[in-house]
Amino acid sequence: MAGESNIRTALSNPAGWQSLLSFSILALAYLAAFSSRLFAVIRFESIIHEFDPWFNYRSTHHLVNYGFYNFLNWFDERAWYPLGRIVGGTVYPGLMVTAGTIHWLLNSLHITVHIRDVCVFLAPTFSGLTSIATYLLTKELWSQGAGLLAACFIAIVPGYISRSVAGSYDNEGIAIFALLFTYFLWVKSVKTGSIFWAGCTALAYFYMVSAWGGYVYIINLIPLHVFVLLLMGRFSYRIFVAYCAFFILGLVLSMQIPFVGFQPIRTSEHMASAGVFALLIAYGFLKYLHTHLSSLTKSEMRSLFVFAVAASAAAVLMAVVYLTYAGYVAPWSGRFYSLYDTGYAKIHIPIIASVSEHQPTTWVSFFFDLHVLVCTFPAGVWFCIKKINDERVFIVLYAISASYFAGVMVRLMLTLTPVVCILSAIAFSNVLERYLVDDTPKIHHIEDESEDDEEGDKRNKSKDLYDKAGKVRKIRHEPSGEPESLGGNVKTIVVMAVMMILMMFAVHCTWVTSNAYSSPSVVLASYNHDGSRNILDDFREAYYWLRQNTDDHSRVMSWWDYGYQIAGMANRTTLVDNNTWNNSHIALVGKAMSSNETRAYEIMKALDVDYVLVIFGGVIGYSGDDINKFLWMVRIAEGEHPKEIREGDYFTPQGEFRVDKAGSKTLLNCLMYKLCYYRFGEMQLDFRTPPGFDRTRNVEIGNKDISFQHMEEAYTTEHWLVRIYKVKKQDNRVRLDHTARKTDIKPKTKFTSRKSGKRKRGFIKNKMLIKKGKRPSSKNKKPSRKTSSKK
Amino acid sequence: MSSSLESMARYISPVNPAVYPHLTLVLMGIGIFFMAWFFVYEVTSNKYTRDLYKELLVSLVASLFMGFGVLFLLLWVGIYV
Repeated sequence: MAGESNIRTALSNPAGWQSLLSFSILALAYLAAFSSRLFAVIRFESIIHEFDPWFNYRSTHHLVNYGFYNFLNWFDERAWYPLGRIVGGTVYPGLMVTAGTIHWLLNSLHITVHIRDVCVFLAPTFSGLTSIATYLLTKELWSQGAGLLAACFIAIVPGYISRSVAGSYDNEGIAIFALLFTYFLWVKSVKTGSIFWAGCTALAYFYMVSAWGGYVYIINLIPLHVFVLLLMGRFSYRIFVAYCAFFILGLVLSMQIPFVGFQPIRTSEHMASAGVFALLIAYGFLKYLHTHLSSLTKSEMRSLFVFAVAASAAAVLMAVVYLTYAGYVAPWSGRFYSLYDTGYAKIHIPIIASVSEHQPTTWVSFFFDLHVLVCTFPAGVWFCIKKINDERVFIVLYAISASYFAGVMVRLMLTLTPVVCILSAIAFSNVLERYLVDDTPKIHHIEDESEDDEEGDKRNKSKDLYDKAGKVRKIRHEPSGEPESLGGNVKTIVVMAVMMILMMFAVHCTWVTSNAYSSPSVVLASYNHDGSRNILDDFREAYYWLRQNTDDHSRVMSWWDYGYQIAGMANRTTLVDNNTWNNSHIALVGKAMSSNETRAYEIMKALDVDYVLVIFGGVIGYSGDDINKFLWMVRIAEGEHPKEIREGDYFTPQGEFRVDKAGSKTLLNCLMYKLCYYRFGEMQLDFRTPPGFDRTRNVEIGNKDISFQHMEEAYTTEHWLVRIYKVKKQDNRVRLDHTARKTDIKPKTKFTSRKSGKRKRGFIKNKMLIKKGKRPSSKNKKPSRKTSSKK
Repeated sequence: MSSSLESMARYISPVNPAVYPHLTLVLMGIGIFFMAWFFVYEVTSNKYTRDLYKELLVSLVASLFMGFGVLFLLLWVGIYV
C-alpha cells in the first residue's frame, strides 16, 4: 500500500521541506509587504491620500453605483467646467475595474466592505502579489534561492512602497505587479517557445495596458530584447514563435482599451515593436532560405545573409521614418520626448516641468530608496553578463534602460526598483552560495561547482536562516585542481557581514516607510516638544464646509493641484484639475490668479465662477501653499498670454521674489496675493513678530491694507490653511473710479442780446415773402419789415 | 423601544473572552501543522503513491482546526463576527 511510505519519506525528503519552506517564506513576505504599508492607516485613519487617488476613488465609486458600461461611457460635466471631461476615454480603467471586481466579489459573499476600504487596501494586497511575481521571475532567471531573496527585497524596499502605501490608490499599485508578471511570462515563453506562454504574456500585457500608461515601457523593452538577441546571433525559432504570437495578440488586445484606441499603430512610441516584428519575420525567412539553398559556399552565403538582413532592417527603418514624415504616424508625445531631451519640457510644456516628481533624481534619493541594493545591483548585472543566456540578456537590458530613466525623473525610480531587487538578489544569492557551502576537505573542480550552483539541487536561502542543509553535489577528486575550499573562519565572517547588511537594510526600509512615505497629505500632523501630536485637518474642514454650505451646482476655482480633492470630497464642479489635459484652460486660471482684481473678475465672470479656493501656509509655516506655487501659475499663464502677463513683472528690480514691502507692485496687487493675505495684516502670531508676519516666507508682508470690490470672504479654516472666497454678482451700477469728464473748459462768455430797448422785436433772417395765389419769386427778396401774409 | 432594550439580557459569550488568545494560538498552531503536513505530502507524492483517504483526512482535520483558529483570531483582534 502506497500509504505506508508516508511520514518517513516525507520528513526526510528534502524536496518536500524545500517547497514547504519556500511557501512559508513567500507567505511571510506577502504578510511583511502588506503590514509594512499600513503605517498611515494606523496613525491616522483609513483615508485616500494625496490628489490623484481621489479621482480614481471617485471613478470607482461611480463604477460601483452605476455599472460598468455607464462608467465606460461616462462624461463628467462636473470637471473642467465648462468643457467637461470624457472620463471613459481618458482613463486607464484597470485600477477601477480591479477594485470594483473585488468589491463585487466580497459583497456577493456577504462580506460587506465599503468601496473606500477596498480602494485603500488594494495597493498593499497587490504589493504582496508583486513579491510573488518577482519570485517567479527571478526563479526563471537564476535560481529559487535568488527568487526568495528578491521576493523579500521587493516586499519592503522603499522605492516601491512610496507609491503603494495603504491609501495611495493609484495606478502604480497594480501596474508594477502586472509589469513583473508580464515579464515573468515573457521570459518563460522565450525559454519554452510555446504559444501557450506567449498567449499568457499577451493577456498579462493586456492587463498592464489597462492599468498604466507605462505599458509603453514593456512594448519597447521586449522588442529591444528580441533585436539585441538578433544582433548577438542568438536567433532561434523559440524567439520567433514567442514574439510573433505575443506581438499580434498583444496589439489587438491593447487596442481594446478606449484610451489607447488606435495609438499602437499610429504613434512613434509603438513603432519599434512593429519594426522589430517585420525584421524578425524577414530574418526568419532568410534563415529558412539559408537552410534550404546550398548552392553557394558557406562564406558567400553568410555574407549574403548578413547583407540581406541589414537591407531589410534598413527598409523597415526607412518605412517608419517615411510614415512619420508623411504624418501617418504621430511623433513622440511630449511626455516621452522629455525623457530623451530633458530641457524640452521647461521651455515648451511648463506643466510637465512644474511637477516636482518630474525633476531629475539626486544621488541621495537613490540611496534613500534602495539602500544597499543600489551598490550590489551592478554586481548582479555582471553575474548575469558572465553567464549569459537568452533571458539574462533581457534582464540586463531592463537594468540598463531603467537606470537611465531613473536618472532622468524621480518618478521613474519606481521602474528601477524591481530590477534592482532582482539583480541584487542574484548577487547576494551568489555570495551566500559560495560562502554558506559546507565544504568537506575534498578538492573540487571549479566548473563543477558553478554548474551545480545552477542546475544541481537547489537550496533555499532566506536572510533569516543560517541554513547548512546538505547539498547533493558531485565531488570529484582532481589531483591537480587548486584548493577551492575556504577557511571556515572566513566563511563565517563573510556570512555574518552579509547578514548584518541585510538586517540594516530591513531597518532602513522600515524607518523610511514610517517617516517619509506614510503621510496622507490630506491630514497634516506636527509633533510638539513633549511628543504629543497636533493634527491639522484644515483641508477636510474646508472641503466639508463647501459640501454642506454651497449650492450643488456652484463652481469652484482653484489651482489644478486641488481639483481632484475638491471633486472627491466637496463634490463640487471644478474648473481645472490634476488631469491637466487642457493647457489653455489652466493658463486662463493662472491669468486670473495673477492679474489684478478687476481683470480677474472679468475672467471669473466669463467662466461662471462662484467660489475661489486658495491654500495659504503663512500661519503655520506650510511650504506647499499657493504663494510658493505662484511663479508656476505666472509661467503657465505667460505661455498662453505673453502680452498680458510677464514673469519679470513679479520680481523686484534686483530679480528677487519678495512679498514684503520691497516686492513688486504687480505682485502686491494681484488677486492671489490679496486672496491669501486678506485680513492677515491684523493678525499677530506671537509677540516677537510684527502683525502680518508670514511664517513660510519669514517676512512681514508688504500690502496689509487689502479690500475687495468683487469678492467677499466666505470661509477660512482654523489654521488659515484654506481660504474660500465668494465671487459677488455684478453691481447694478458700476461705480466709476476715474474722474468725471470735465466740461466747460473754455471760459463762458456772458451772452448779451443785440436787441436794444427799442428794437426788442425779433425778426427772422431770409424769411420768404409768400402771397397766396402768386408764384413765389425766384430772386431773393430783401427781407421786408412788413408783416408777411399768412400762409 | 428603550424599555425593551433595558429588559434584554446582556449577551454573554459561551467561551470566556479571557481565553481567546490561548485558544487562537493553540487551534491555529495545530491547524498550521496539519496544513504543512498536507502541503508536504502533496509536493512529495506522485500519482502512484498518493492515497485519497489520507489526503481527505489530513485536509479535514487541518481545515477544522484552521477554521476555528481563524474564528478565535478574529474575536481576539476585535472583529466580533
